[in-house]
Amino acid sequence: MSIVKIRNKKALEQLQAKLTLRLGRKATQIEILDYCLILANNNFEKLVELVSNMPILSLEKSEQIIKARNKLKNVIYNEEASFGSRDDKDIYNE
Amino acid sequence: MVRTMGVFLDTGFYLGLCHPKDQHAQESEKILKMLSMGEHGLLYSSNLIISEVTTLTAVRSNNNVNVLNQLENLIWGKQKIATILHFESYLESETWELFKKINTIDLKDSRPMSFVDVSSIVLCQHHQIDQIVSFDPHFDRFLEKIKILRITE
Repeated sequence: MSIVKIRNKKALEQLQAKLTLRLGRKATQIEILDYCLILANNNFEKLVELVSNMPILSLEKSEQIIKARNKLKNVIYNEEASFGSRDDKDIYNE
Repeated sequence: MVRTMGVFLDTGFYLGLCHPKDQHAQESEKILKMLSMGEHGLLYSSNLIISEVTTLTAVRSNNNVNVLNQLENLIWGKQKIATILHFESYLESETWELFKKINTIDLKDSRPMSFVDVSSIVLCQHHQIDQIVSFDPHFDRFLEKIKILRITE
């Protein structure tokens, strides 16, 4: 057995609770993940659609970002610029 | 050791990518290129960071539409770099308790840590994100910072 860290443990626990209610027995988290893999394989195109919505930073994208940013060199930028209200000044102007 | 879990992006990093005259522009550029190698995993930020960075960008650029467009592109557009995590209501009490502990005990006589900063720590804990890109020293005790390796170090 290998160890895989998952990002959203809470979602797995919630899924486990819902399944327990429906099945009348507590499915283990390993069991649930095994079934999720079967589901993912059976719905591969949906999986691709889901994963492709995750933003991926490539070297090309990073270069485009910097190029676009550097075009703004003649735009005024004032790090000391202040807010009108006292509360906003306290929050943002440290 | 190369970690692959994910990185949280703080306000200052986004600001550095919005304007070349920002004090962290050079550092942000180098870190962005480093992150683009993919060794640090996926990138995340939060809706509370968006609240901070949008406001600061508008004020510092004097509401310049081109600078705001650059930011828009980074957060929601074609150049989107991070998944935005939502600070949900169930995290509020946990964040408040940590906020009180940090500011009344750990940082009792120092500059307080903001609620937004504490919310970032809580979000990272919940999503198992153990690295952050930030120029704020407050995070040093809680998350590993992504730093640029300098030849002199």
